[in-house]
Amino acid sequence: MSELSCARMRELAPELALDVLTGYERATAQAHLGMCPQCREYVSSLTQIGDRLLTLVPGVEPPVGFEDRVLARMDFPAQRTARQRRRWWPMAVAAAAVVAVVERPP
Amino acid sequence: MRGQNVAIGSRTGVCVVPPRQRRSIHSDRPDVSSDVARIGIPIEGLPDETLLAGLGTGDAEIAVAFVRRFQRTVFGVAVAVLGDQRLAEDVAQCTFERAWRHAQVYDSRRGSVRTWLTTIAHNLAIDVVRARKPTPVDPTELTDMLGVIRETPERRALANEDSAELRAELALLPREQARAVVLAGIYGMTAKQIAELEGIPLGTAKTRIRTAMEKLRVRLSVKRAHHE
Repeated sequence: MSELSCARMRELAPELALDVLTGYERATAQAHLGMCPQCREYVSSLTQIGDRLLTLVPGVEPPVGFEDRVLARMDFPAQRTARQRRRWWPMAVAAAAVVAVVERPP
Repeated sequence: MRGQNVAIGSRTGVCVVPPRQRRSIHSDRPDVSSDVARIGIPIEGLPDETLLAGLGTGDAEIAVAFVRRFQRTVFGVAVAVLGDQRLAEDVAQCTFERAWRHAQVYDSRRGSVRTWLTTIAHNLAIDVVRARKPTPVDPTELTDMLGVIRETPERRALANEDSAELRAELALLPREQARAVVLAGIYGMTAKQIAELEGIPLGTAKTRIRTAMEKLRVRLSVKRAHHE
């Protein structure tokens, strides 16, 4: 694999940064980056622009039930109900209060 | 560079997602695992980074809040790239699963939690697109997307400044250059595919991508320097 000049690397950098470079060009560009911190820095600055571009894509409401399916996939129990949540908070407050009283020096 | 090898099993629910190696380990995460410490603070008001850190601790309420806060963004990117609700849901689910598994590799110095999530969703979506038979980008969708991302900041007065800046610079680019950036950066099309779509020589497609990205880089870094 022939070595790439920095000038040639800069030509390929935008496509590499957007991850649309393929085959031989991609391989030589990556090999160059492995040895050249300046070009790595340059590609990184372009990658940041590509990442920011994605944040401009408009949000879309996912299908009904998405939230529950995601949580199940992450091994979380089905979403707690509001009633259960309300019960949970005073318990923690009470526990904290008990700890505070017990720990207070006489 | 974006994109890493990722296998998605849409029917099996298997989501094999290696961590993004370019991010370093984030060691100084705030500890939100203590239930008592959170009393009095509504979860909805917690900063993005705190929610992400909490996600890694296995707190179900934080997980719910995290998913609710980001699901529109994540699903929006997935459906934009894939144009298919079912595939987009799978990618969006994988994105959250990956965020949950790899919350500790998130590095705030590299960008916001929202940006991190959109790049994960995008990587996954592009990998799905590339594994399938190539389908052309719907011209109407492309026009809509260009319209939305190039809206001038005045029309988006409430948008955060970071995205308003990029929006404004995209609006200043010649239309064919903005198209090239969107086709490559959002739809993951190579210069060759863009050349075919636009009916232009390969060299011209490459030049459009390069010229546009270089302009954005220079203008945005100049603005940043002025702010500092």
